[in-house]
Amino acid sequence: MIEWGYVHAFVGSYTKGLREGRDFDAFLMGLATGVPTAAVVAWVANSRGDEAIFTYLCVGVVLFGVWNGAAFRTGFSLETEFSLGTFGPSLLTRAPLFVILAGRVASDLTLGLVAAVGGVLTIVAVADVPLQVANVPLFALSAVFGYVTLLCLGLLLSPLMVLSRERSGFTNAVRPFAAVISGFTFAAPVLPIGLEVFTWFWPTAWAMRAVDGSIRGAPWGEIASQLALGVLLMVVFFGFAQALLRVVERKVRISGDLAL
Amino acid sequence: MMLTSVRRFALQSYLSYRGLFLWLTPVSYVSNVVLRPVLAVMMFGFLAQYALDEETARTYAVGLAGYSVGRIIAGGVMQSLYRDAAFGTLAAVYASPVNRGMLYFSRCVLHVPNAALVAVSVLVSAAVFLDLGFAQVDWGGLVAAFAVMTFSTMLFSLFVATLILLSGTNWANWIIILDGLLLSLTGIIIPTAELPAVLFEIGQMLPVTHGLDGLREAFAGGPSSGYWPDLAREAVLGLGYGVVGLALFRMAEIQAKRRGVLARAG
Repeated sequence: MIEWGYVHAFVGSYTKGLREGRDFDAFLMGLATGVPTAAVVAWVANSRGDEAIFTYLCVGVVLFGVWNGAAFRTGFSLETEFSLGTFGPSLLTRAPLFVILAGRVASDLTLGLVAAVGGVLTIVAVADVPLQVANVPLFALSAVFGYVTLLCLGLLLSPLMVLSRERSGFTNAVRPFAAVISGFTFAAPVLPIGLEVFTWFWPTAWAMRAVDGSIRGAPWGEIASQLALGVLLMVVFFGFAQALLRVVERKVRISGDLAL
Repeated sequence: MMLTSVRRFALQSYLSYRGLFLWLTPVSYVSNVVLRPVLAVMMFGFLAQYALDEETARTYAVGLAGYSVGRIIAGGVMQSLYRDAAFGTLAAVYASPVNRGMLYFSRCVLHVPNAALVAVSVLVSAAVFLDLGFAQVDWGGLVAAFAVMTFSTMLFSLFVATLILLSGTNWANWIIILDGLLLSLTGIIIPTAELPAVLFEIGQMLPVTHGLDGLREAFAGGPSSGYWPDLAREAVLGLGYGVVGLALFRMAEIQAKRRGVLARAG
Protein backbone atom coordinates (compact mmCIF):
# COMPACT_ATOMS: atom_id res chain seq x y z
CA MET A 1 0.00 0.00 0.00
CA ILE A 2 1.63 3.23 -1.14
CA GLU A 3 1.22 6.26 1.06
CA TRP A 4 0.73 8.87 -1.65
CA GLY A 5 1.18 11.67 0.84
CA TYR A 6 4.69 10.43 1.53
CA VAL A 7 5.43 10.27 -2.19
CA HIS A 8 4.27 13.88 -2.54
CA ALA A 9 6.44 14.86 0.44
CA PHE A 10 9.48 13.12 -1.08
CA VAL A 11 8.93 14.69 -4.51
CA GLY A 12 8.33 18.11 -2.94
CA SER A 13 11.50 17.91 -0.86
CA TYR A 14 13.48 16.65 -3.87
CA THR A 15 12.17 19.42 -6.13
CA LYS A 16 12.86 22.07 -3.50
CA GLY A 17 16.44 20.83 -3.16
CA LEU A 18 16.95 20.91 -6.92
CA ARG A 19 15.54 24.42 -7.21
CA GLU A 20 17.76 25.72 -4.41
CA GLY A 21 20.87 24.19 -5.89
CA ARG A 22 20.54 24.77 -9.60
CA ASP A 23 21.99 28.29 -9.79
CA PHE A 24 25.29 29.12 -11.48
CA ASP A 25 27.18 29.39 -8.17
CA ALA A 26 26.13 25.86 -7.24
CA PHE A 27 27.14 24.63 -10.68
CA LEU A 28 30.60 26.16 -10.32
CA MET A 29 30.97 24.77 -6.82
CA GLY A 30 30.00 21.35 -8.11
CA LEU A 31 32.85 21.53 -10.59
CA ALA A 32 35.24 22.91 -7.98
CA THR A 33 34.57 19.98 -5.63
CA GLY A 34 35.14 17.37 -8.33
CA VAL A 35 37.71 18.62 -10.84
CA PRO A 36 40.92 19.11 -8.77
CA THR A 37 40.74 15.69 -7.10
CA ALA A 38 39.94 14.09 -10.45
CA ALA A 39 42.95 15.82 -12.00
CA VAL A 40 45.26 14.59 -9.25
CA VAL A 41 43.95 11.01 -9.26
CA ALA A 42 43.97 10.86 -13.08
CA TRP A 43 47.57 12.09 -13.13
CA VAL A 44 48.62 9.41 -10.63
CA ALA A 45 46.77 6.68 -12.55
CA ASN A 46 48.28 7.90 -15.80
CA SER A 47 51.79 7.69 -14.33
CA ARG A 48 51.33 3.97 -13.72
CA GLY A 49 49.48 3.22 -16.95
CA ASP A 50 47.79 0.13 -15.50
CA GLU A 51 44.41 -0.18 -17.25
CA ALA A 52 42.65 -2.04 -14.44
CA ILE A 53 43.81 0.42 -11.78
CA PHE A 54 42.89 3.34 -14.02
CA THR A 55 39.37 1.98 -14.56
CA TYR A 56 38.89 1.45 -10.83
CA LEU A 57 40.06 4.97 -10.05
CA CYS A 58 37.73 6.44 -12.70
CA VAL A 59 34.73 4.97 -10.89
CA GLY A 60 36.16 6.04 -7.53
CA VAL A 61 36.73 9.61 -8.67
CA VAL A 62 33.20 9.92 -10.04
CA LEU A 63 31.64 8.60 -6.82
CA PHE A 64 33.98 10.75 -4.74
CA GLY A 65 32.91 13.81 -6.74
CA VAL A 66 29.23 13.02 -6.18
CA TRP A 67 29.75 12.34 -2.48
CA ASN A 68 31.98 15.34 -1.87
CA GLY A 69 29.60 17.74 -3.62
CA ALA A 70 26.46 16.24 -2.10
CA ALA A 71 27.80 16.06 1.46
CA PHE A 72 29.12 19.62 1.25
CA ARG A 73 25.73 20.82 0.01
CA THR A 74 23.84 18.86 2.68
CA GLY A 75 26.07 20.26 5.41
CA PHE A 76 26.00 23.79 4.09
CA SER A 77 22.24 23.92 3.53
CA LEU A 78 21.55 22.46 6.98
CA GLU A 79 23.94 24.94 8.57
CA THR A 80 22.14 27.76 6.79
CA GLU A 81 18.75 26.45 7.95
CA PHE A 82 20.02 26.16 11.53
CA SER A 83 21.32 29.70 11.55
CA LEU A 84 18.14 31.09 9.97
CA GLY A 85 15.98 29.05 12.35
CA THR A 86 13.96 27.43 9.56
CA PHE A 87 14.95 23.81 10.20
CA GLY A 88 12.85 23.18 13.32
CA PRO A 89 9.54 24.41 11.87
CA SER A 90 10.17 22.43 8.67
CA LEU A 91 9.88 19.25 10.74
CA LEU A 92 6.34 20.05 11.83
CA THR A 93 4.76 18.41 8.81
CA ARG A 94 2.72 15.20 8.91
CA ALA A 95 5.19 13.33 6.66
CA PRO A 96 8.00 11.46 8.45
CA LEU A 97 11.29 13.30 8.67
CA PHE A 98 12.94 10.31 6.97
CA VAL A 99 10.94 10.92 3.80
CA ILE A 100 11.64 14.67 3.77
CA LEU A 101 15.38 14.27 4.29
CA ALA A 102 15.55 11.41 1.76
CA GLY A 103 14.18 13.84 -0.83
CA ARG A 104 16.75 16.44 0.15
CA VAL A 105 19.66 13.99 0.03
CA ALA A 106 18.45 12.59 -3.31
CA SER A 107 18.45 16.11 -4.77
CA ASP A 108 21.96 16.70 -3.37
CA LEU A 109 23.13 13.49 -5.03
CA THR A 110 21.53 14.53 -8.31
CA LEU A 111 23.27 17.90 -8.16
CA GLY A 112 26.46 16.05 -7.21
CA LEU A 113 26.44 14.62 -10.72
CA VAL A 114 27.83 17.98 -11.87
CA ALA A 115 31.01 17.15 -9.96
CA ALA A 116 30.96 13.66 -11.46
CA VAL A 117 30.66 14.96 -15.03
CA GLY A 118 33.42 17.51 -14.34
CA GLY A 119 35.56 14.68 -12.96
CA VAL A 120 35.01 12.51 -16.03
CA LEU A 121 35.88 15.36 -18.42
CA THR A 122 39.02 16.06 -16.39
CA ILE A 123 40.07 12.43 -16.52
CA VAL A 124 39.60 12.40 -20.30
CA ALA A 125 41.72 15.56 -20.58
CA VAL A 126 44.50 14.42 -18.25
CA ALA A 127 44.85 10.67 -18.75
CA ASP A 128 45.79 8.59 -21.75
CA VAL A 129 44.99 5.10 -20.53
CA PRO A 130 42.20 2.93 -22.00
CA LEU A 131 39.50 1.51 -19.75
CA GLN A 132 39.57 -2.23 -19.15
CA VAL A 133 36.57 -4.15 -17.85
CA ALA A 134 36.27 -7.93 -17.79
CA ASN A 135 32.57 -8.09 -16.96
CA VAL A 136 30.72 -5.05 -18.30
CA PRO A 137 27.18 -5.80 -16.99
CA LEU A 138 28.40 -6.41 -13.42
CA PHE A 139 30.72 -3.45 -13.65
CA ALA A 140 27.81 -1.17 -14.60
CA LEU A 141 25.60 -2.68 -11.90
CA SER A 142 28.32 -2.28 -9.24
CA ALA A 143 29.04 1.33 -10.19
CA VAL A 144 25.34 2.25 -10.12
CA PHE A 145 24.97 0.45 -6.79
CA GLY A 146 27.90 2.49 -5.47
CA TYR A 147 25.98 5.63 -6.38
CA VAL A 148 22.84 4.34 -4.63
CA THR A 149 24.76 3.55 -1.43
CA LEU A 150 25.66 7.22 -1.16
CA LEU A 151 21.99 7.87 -0.41
CA CYS A 152 22.22 6.07 2.92
CA LEU A 153 25.48 7.83 3.79
CA GLY A 154 23.83 11.19 3.11
CA LEU A 155 20.80 10.22 5.17
CA LEU A 156 23.03 9.40 8.14
CA LEU A 157 24.87 12.71 7.85
CA SER A 158 21.80 14.90 8.40
CA PRO A 159 20.69 13.61 11.84
CA LEU A 160 24.31 13.36 12.99
CA MET A 161 24.74 17.06 12.26
CA VAL A 162 21.53 17.89 14.10
CA LEU A 163 22.16 15.70 17.13
CA SER A 164 25.79 16.66 17.59
CA ARG A 165 24.66 20.31 17.51
CA GLU A 166 27.74 20.95 15.44
CA ARG A 167 27.62 23.51 12.72
CA SER A 168 30.43 24.95 10.70
CA GLY A 169 33.17 22.63 9.52
CA PHE A 170 31.55 19.39 10.70
CA THR A 171 31.51 17.81 7.24
CA ASN A 172 35.17 18.66 6.59
CA ALA A 173 36.20 15.43 8.28
CA VAL A 174 33.10 13.40 7.44
CA ARG A 175 33.60 13.81 3.69
CA PRO A 176 37.17 12.45 3.52
CA PHE A 177 36.38 9.80 6.17
CA ALA A 178 33.65 8.32 3.99
CA ALA A 179 35.96 8.56 0.97
CA VAL A 180 38.74 6.66 2.74
CA ILE A 181 36.48 3.93 4.16
CA SER A 182 34.67 3.57 0.83
CA GLY A 183 37.97 3.07 -1.01
CA PHE A 184 37.29 5.64 -3.74
CA THR A 185 41.01 6.23 -4.35
CA PHE A 186 42.42 2.77 -3.62
CA ALA A 187 41.20 -0.80 -3.32
CA ALA A 188 40.39 -1.79 0.27
CA PRO A 189 43.14 -4.46 0.61
CA VAL A 190 45.73 -1.63 0.47
CA LEU A 191 44.54 -0.56 3.92
CA PRO A 192 46.30 -1.95 7.01
CA ILE A 193 44.17 -4.76 8.46
CA GLY A 194 43.12 -2.64 11.45
CA LEU A 195 41.57 -0.13 9.10
CA GLU A 196 40.27 -2.62 6.56
CA VAL A 197 37.93 -4.00 9.24
CA PHE A 198 35.97 -0.72 9.09
CA THR A 199 35.30 -1.26 5.39
CA TRP A 200 33.52 -4.56 6.13
CA PHE A 201 30.70 -2.54 7.70
CA TRP A 202 30.44 0.10 4.98
CA PRO A 203 28.07 -0.48 2.01
CA THR A 204 29.98 1.71 -0.44
CA ALA A 205 33.16 -0.26 0.27
CA TRP A 206 31.38 -3.46 -0.84
CA ALA A 207 30.20 -1.70 -3.98
CA MET A 208 33.80 -0.70 -4.74
CA ARG A 209 34.96 -4.28 -4.08
CA ALA A 210 32.38 -5.42 -6.63
CA VAL A 211 33.65 -2.78 -9.07
CA ASP A 212 37.20 -4.08 -8.57
CA GLY A 213 36.07 -7.70 -9.03
CA SER A 214 34.13 -6.94 -12.22
CA ILE A 215 37.16 -5.12 -13.67
CA ARG A 216 39.46 -8.07 -12.94
CA GLY A 217 37.00 -10.76 -13.98
CA ALA A 218 36.18 -12.24 -10.59
CA PRO A 219 33.52 -15.03 -10.53
CA TRP A 220 29.86 -13.94 -10.67
CA GLY A 221 29.19 -15.53 -7.31
CA GLU A 222 31.90 -13.52 -5.59
CA ILE A 223 30.66 -10.21 -7.01
CA ALA A 224 27.03 -11.09 -6.29
CA SER A 225 27.87 -11.84 -2.67
CA GLN A 226 29.69 -8.51 -2.37
CA LEU A 227 26.68 -6.67 -3.74
CA ALA A 228 24.36 -8.63 -1.44
CA LEU A 229 26.45 -7.64 1.57
CA GLY A 230 26.27 -4.04 0.39
CA VAL A 231 22.47 -4.22 0.14
CA LEU A 232 22.24 -5.75 3.61
CA LEU A 233 24.42 -3.00 5.08
CA MET A 234 22.34 -0.37 3.28
CA VAL A 235 19.24 -1.69 5.03
CA VAL A 236 21.07 -1.50 8.36
CA PHE A 237 22.24 2.06 7.60
CA PHE A 238 18.72 3.11 6.63
CA GLY A 239 17.42 1.63 9.87
CA PHE A 240 20.07 3.44 11.88
CA ALA A 241 19.35 6.71 10.07
CA GLN A 242 15.63 6.29 10.74
CA ALA A 243 16.29 5.65 14.43
CA LEU A 244 18.41 8.80 14.65
CA LEU A 245 15.78 10.83 12.81
CA ARG A 246 13.12 9.60 15.26
CA VAL A 247 15.26 11.02 18.07
CA VAL A 248 15.39 14.33 16.21
CA GLU A 249 11.63 14.29 15.64
CA ARG A 250 10.99 13.49 19.29
CA LYS A 251 13.10 16.46 20.29
CA VAL A 252 11.07 18.74 18.08
CA ARG A 253 7.57 17.35 18.43
CA ILE A 254 7.48 16.20 22.04
CA SER A 255 9.95 18.41 23.85
CA GLY A 256 9.05 21.36 21.61
CA ASP A 257 12.74 22.13 21.20
CA LEU A 258 12.85 24.11 17.97
CA ALA A 259 16.20 25.69 18.72
CA LEU A 260 18.17 23.12 16.74
CA MET B 1 52.14 54.02 23.73
CA MET B 2 53.91 50.96 22.36
CA LEU B 3 52.47 48.83 25.16
CA THR B 4 48.98 50.09 24.39
CA SER B 5 49.36 49.19 20.74
CA VAL B 6 50.55 45.69 21.61
CA ARG B 7 47.68 45.28 24.06
CA ARG B 8 45.15 46.42 21.45
CA PHE B 9 46.64 44.11 18.84
CA ALA B 10 46.47 41.19 21.26
CA LEU B 11 42.88 42.03 22.22
CA GLN B 12 41.81 42.36 18.57
CA SER B 13 43.46 39.06 17.75
CA TYR B 14 41.80 37.29 20.66
CA LEU B 15 38.31 38.70 20.11
CA SER B 16 38.25 38.09 16.38
CA TYR B 17 39.54 34.54 16.87
CA ARG B 18 37.04 33.65 19.60
CA GLY B 19 34.09 35.37 18.01
CA LEU B 20 34.53 34.77 14.31
CA PHE B 21 36.35 31.44 13.95
CA LEU B 22 33.48 28.95 14.19
CA TRP B 23 35.59 25.80 14.07
CA LEU B 24 36.46 26.23 17.74
CA THR B 25 33.77 23.87 19.05
CA PRO B 26 35.33 20.53 20.07
CA VAL B 27 33.94 18.40 17.23
CA SER B 28 34.61 20.99 14.53
CA TYR B 29 38.10 21.73 15.84
CA VAL B 30 39.17 18.09 16.01
CA SER B 31 37.54 17.46 12.61
CA ASN B 32 39.51 20.22 10.92
CA VAL B 33 42.80 20.28 12.80
CA VAL B 34 43.35 16.57 13.37
CA LEU B 35 41.01 14.30 11.41
CA ARG B 36 40.91 16.08 8.07
CA PRO B 37 44.72 16.25 7.67
CA VAL B 38 45.11 12.63 8.79
CA LEU B 39 42.42 11.50 6.34
CA ALA B 40 44.11 13.46 3.53
CA VAL B 41 47.30 11.51 4.24
CA MET B 42 45.38 8.26 4.13
CA MET B 43 43.44 9.13 0.99
CA PHE B 44 46.41 10.21 -1.14
CA GLY B 45 49.06 8.12 0.60
CA PHE B 46 47.12 4.90 0.04
CA LEU B 47 46.32 6.07 -3.50
CA ALA B 48 50.07 6.24 -4.18
CA GLN B 49 50.63 2.84 -2.55
CA TYR B 50 47.85 1.36 -4.68
CA ALA B 51 48.74 2.92 -8.02
CA LEU B 52 52.49 3.63 -7.70
CA ASP B 53 54.80 2.70 -4.83
CA GLU B 54 55.50 3.30 -1.14
CA GLU B 55 58.30 5.81 -1.66
CA THR B 56 56.02 8.05 -3.72
CA ALA B 57 53.41 7.80 -0.96
CA ARG B 58 55.94 9.24 1.49
CA THR B 59 56.83 12.05 -0.92
CA TYR B 60 53.14 12.92 -1.18
CA ALA B 61 52.83 12.90 2.62
CA VAL B 62 55.44 15.65 2.99
CA GLY B 63 53.59 17.66 0.35
CA LEU B 64 50.30 17.07 2.13
CA ALA B 65 51.79 18.59 5.27
CA GLY B 66 52.28 21.86 3.37
CA TYR B 67 48.85 21.63 1.79
CA SER B 68 47.12 20.96 5.11
CA VAL B 69 48.86 23.90 6.78
CA GLY B 70 47.69 26.13 3.94
CA ARG B 71 44.16 24.71 4.12
CA ILE B 72 43.64 25.26 7.86
CA ILE B 73 45.07 28.79 7.74
CA ALA B 74 42.97 29.72 4.68
CA GLY B 75 39.80 28.22 6.20
CA GLY B 76 40.30 30.01 9.51
CA VAL B 77 41.41 33.43 8.29
CA MET B 78 38.92 33.68 5.42
CA GLN B 79 35.92 32.77 7.55
CA SER B 80 36.99 35.19 10.28
CA LEU B 81 37.13 38.23 8.02
CA TYR B 82 34.01 37.13 6.12
CA ARG B 83 32.05 36.74 9.34
CA ASP B 84 33.28 40.10 10.54
CA ALA B 85 31.08 41.46 7.75
CA ALA B 86 28.32 38.84 7.90
CA PHE B 87 27.78 39.21 11.67
CA GLY B 88 27.81 42.99 11.43
CA THR B 89 30.88 43.52 13.65
CA LEU B 90 33.00 44.97 10.86
CA ALA B 91 30.68 47.97 10.68
CA ALA B 92 31.45 48.80 14.31
CA VAL B 93 35.17 48.36 13.72
CA TYR B 94 35.04 50.66 10.68
CA ALA B 95 33.55 53.33 12.92
CA SER B 96 36.48 53.14 15.36
CA PRO B 97 39.76 55.07 14.94
CA VAL B 98 41.89 51.94 15.40
CA ASN B 99 44.94 51.55 13.16
CA ARG B 100 43.81 49.66 10.05
CA GLY B 101 47.04 47.72 9.63
CA MET B 102 46.76 46.50 13.20
CA LEU B 103 43.12 45.63 12.66
CA TYR B 104 43.81 43.79 9.42
CA PHE B 105 46.76 41.68 10.52
CA SER B 106 45.26 40.86 13.93
CA ARG B 107 42.71 38.68 12.09
CA CYS B 108 45.25 35.95 11.42
CA VAL B 109 47.75 35.74 14.28
CA LEU B 110 46.00 33.22 16.54
CA HIS B 111 45.57 30.75 13.68
CA VAL B 112 49.31 29.99 13.81
CA PRO B 113 49.03 27.29 16.53
CA ASN B 114 46.45 25.49 14.38
CA ALA B 115 48.96 25.33 11.53
CA ALA B 116 51.54 23.79 13.88
CA LEU B 117 49.04 21.20 15.11
CA VAL B 118 48.04 20.31 11.56
CA ALA B 119 51.68 19.84 10.54
CA VAL B 120 52.23 17.52 13.49
CA SER B 121 49.01 15.60 12.68
CA VAL B 122 50.12 15.00 9.09
CA LEU B 123 53.69 14.00 9.88
CA VAL B 124 52.72 11.67 12.74
CA SER B 125 49.99 9.98 10.68
CA ALA B 126 52.40 9.61 7.76
CA ALA B 127 54.90 7.95 10.10
CA VAL B 128 52.20 5.57 11.37
CA PHE B 129 50.46 4.69 8.09
CA LEU B 130 53.17 5.22 5.46
CA ASP B 131 56.31 4.53 7.48
CA LEU B 132 57.67 8.03 6.91
CA GLY B 133 61.15 8.31 8.41
CA PHE B 134 62.76 11.37 10.00
CA ALA B 135 66.39 10.28 10.19
CA GLN B 136 67.73 12.76 7.63
CA VAL B 137 65.50 15.71 8.46
CA ASP B 138 67.07 19.14 8.90
CA TRP B 139 64.76 20.20 11.74
CA GLY B 140 65.72 23.85 11.59
CA GLY B 141 64.88 23.96 7.90
CA LEU B 142 61.67 22.02 8.47
CA VAL B 143 60.42 24.44 11.12
CA ALA B 144 61.48 27.41 8.99
CA ALA B 145 59.62 26.00 5.98
CA PHE B 146 56.41 25.53 7.96
CA ALA B 147 56.77 28.99 9.50
CA VAL B 148 57.23 30.67 6.13
CA MET B 149 54.34 28.76 4.53
CA THR B 150 52.13 29.70 7.48
CA PHE B 151 53.16 33.35 7.09
CA SER B 152 52.53 33.46 3.34
CA THR B 153 49.23 31.59 3.56
CA MET B 154 47.98 33.93 6.30
CA LEU B 155 48.64 37.01 4.18
CA PHE B 156 47.28 35.37 1.05
CA SER B 157 44.12 34.34 2.93
CA LEU B 158 43.62 37.88 4.22
CA PHE B 159 44.02 39.10 0.63
CA VAL B 160 41.39 36.63 -0.64
CA ALA B 161 39.09 37.46 2.29
CA THR B 162 39.29 41.11 1.30
CA LEU B 163 38.28 40.18 -2.24
CA ILE B 164 35.30 38.39 -0.65
CA LEU B 165 34.40 41.60 1.21
CA LEU B 166 34.66 43.62 -2.00
CA SER B 167 32.65 41.16 -4.07
CA GLY B 168 30.02 40.42 -1.44
CA THR B 169 30.27 36.70 -2.08
CA ASN B 170 30.26 33.74 0.30
CA TRP B 171 33.57 32.50 1.74
CA ALA B 172 32.48 28.85 1.48
CA ASN B 173 32.65 29.04 -2.33
CA TRP B 174 36.14 30.56 -2.23
CA ILE B 175 37.56 27.99 0.16
CA ILE B 176 36.45 25.17 -2.12
CA ILE B 177 38.17 26.81 -5.08
CA LEU B 178 41.30 27.61 -3.07
CA ASP B 179 41.39 24.07 -1.70
CA GLY B 180 41.32 22.70 -5.25
CA LEU B 181 44.05 25.09 -6.42
CA LEU B 182 46.32 24.19 -3.50
CA LEU B 183 45.80 20.48 -4.07
CA SER B 184 46.37 20.46 -7.81
CA LEU B 185 48.72 23.35 -8.68
CA THR B 186 51.30 23.67 -5.88
CA GLY B 187 53.27 20.48 -6.53
CA ILE B 188 51.87 18.41 -3.68
CA ILE B 189 51.14 15.49 -5.97
CA ILE B 190 51.47 16.69 -9.57
CA PRO B 191 54.98 18.18 -10.05
CA THR B 192 54.59 21.82 -11.09
CA ALA B 193 56.95 21.25 -14.04
CA GLU B 194 54.40 18.87 -15.55
CA LEU B 195 51.53 21.36 -15.45
CA PRO B 196 50.40 23.17 -18.62
CA ALA B 197 52.01 26.63 -18.91
CA VAL B 198 48.99 28.63 -17.72
CA LEU B 199 48.41 26.40 -14.71
CA PHE B 200 52.13 26.44 -13.93
CA GLU B 201 52.08 30.26 -13.78
CA ILE B 202 48.99 30.23 -11.54
CA GLY B 203 50.74 27.74 -9.27
CA GLN B 204 53.78 30.02 -8.99
CA MET B 205 51.52 32.77 -7.64
CA LEU B 206 50.01 30.58 -4.94
CA PRO B 207 51.36 30.25 -1.41
CA VAL B 208 52.83 26.84 -0.47
CA THR B 209 54.32 26.21 -3.97
CA HIS B 210 57.81 27.61 -3.25
CA GLY B 211 57.70 26.75 0.45
CA LEU B 212 56.97 23.15 -0.45
CA ASP B 213 60.15 22.92 -2.51
CA GLY B 214 62.06 24.18 0.52
CA LEU B 215 60.19 21.83 2.84
CA ARG B 216 61.09 18.82 0.72
CA GLU B 217 64.76 19.93 0.61
CA ALA B 218 64.83 20.28 4.38
CA PHE B 219 63.05 16.98 4.85
CA ALA B 220 65.61 15.19 2.72
CA GLY B 221 68.37 16.77 4.82
CA GLY B 222 69.91 18.74 1.97
CA PRO B 223 72.19 21.74 2.58
CA SER B 224 70.52 24.87 3.91
CA SER B 225 71.61 26.73 0.77
CA GLY B 226 69.16 24.45 -1.04
CA TYR B 227 66.01 25.55 0.76
CA TRP B 228 66.61 29.18 1.75
CA PRO B 229 66.07 30.59 -1.75
CA ASP B 230 62.72 28.76 -1.98
CA LEU B 231 61.68 29.98 1.44
CA ALA B 232 62.75 33.52 0.57
CA ARG B 233 60.55 33.42 -2.57
CA GLU B 234 57.65 32.15 -0.49
CA ALA B 235 58.12 34.94 2.07
CA VAL B 236 58.34 37.65 -0.59
CA LEU B 237 55.17 36.34 -2.23
CA GLY B 238 53.41 36.50 1.14
CA LEU B 239 54.63 40.05 1.78
CA GLY B 240 53.32 41.08 -1.62
CA TYR B 241 49.88 39.71 -0.79
CA GLY B 242 50.07 41.46 2.59
CA VAL B 243 50.69 44.87 1.05
CA VAL B 244 48.12 44.52 -1.74
CA GLY B 245 45.58 42.99 0.66
CA LEU B 246 45.88 45.88 3.13
CA ALA B 247 45.41 48.41 0.31
CA LEU B 248 42.32 46.52 -0.84
CA PHE B 249 41.02 46.40 2.72
CA ARG B 250 41.26 50.19 2.92
CA MET B 251 39.51 50.37 -0.44
CA ALA B 252 36.73 48.08 0.84
CA GLU B 253 36.25 50.38 3.82
CA ILE B 254 36.13 53.51 1.68
CA GLN B 255 33.68 51.83 -0.70
CA ALA B 256 31.51 50.60 2.18
CA LYS B 257 31.36 54.06 3.79
CA ARG B 258 30.71 55.83 0.50
CA ARG B 259 27.84 53.51 -0.38
CA GLY B 260 26.57 53.15 3.14
CA VAL B 261 26.86 49.37 2.94
CA LEU B 262 28.88 48.51 6.00
CA ALA B 263 28.11 44.84 6.39
CA ARG B 264 28.22 43.47 2.90
CA ALA B 265 28.52 39.72 2.61
CA GLY B 266 26.94 37.01 0.49
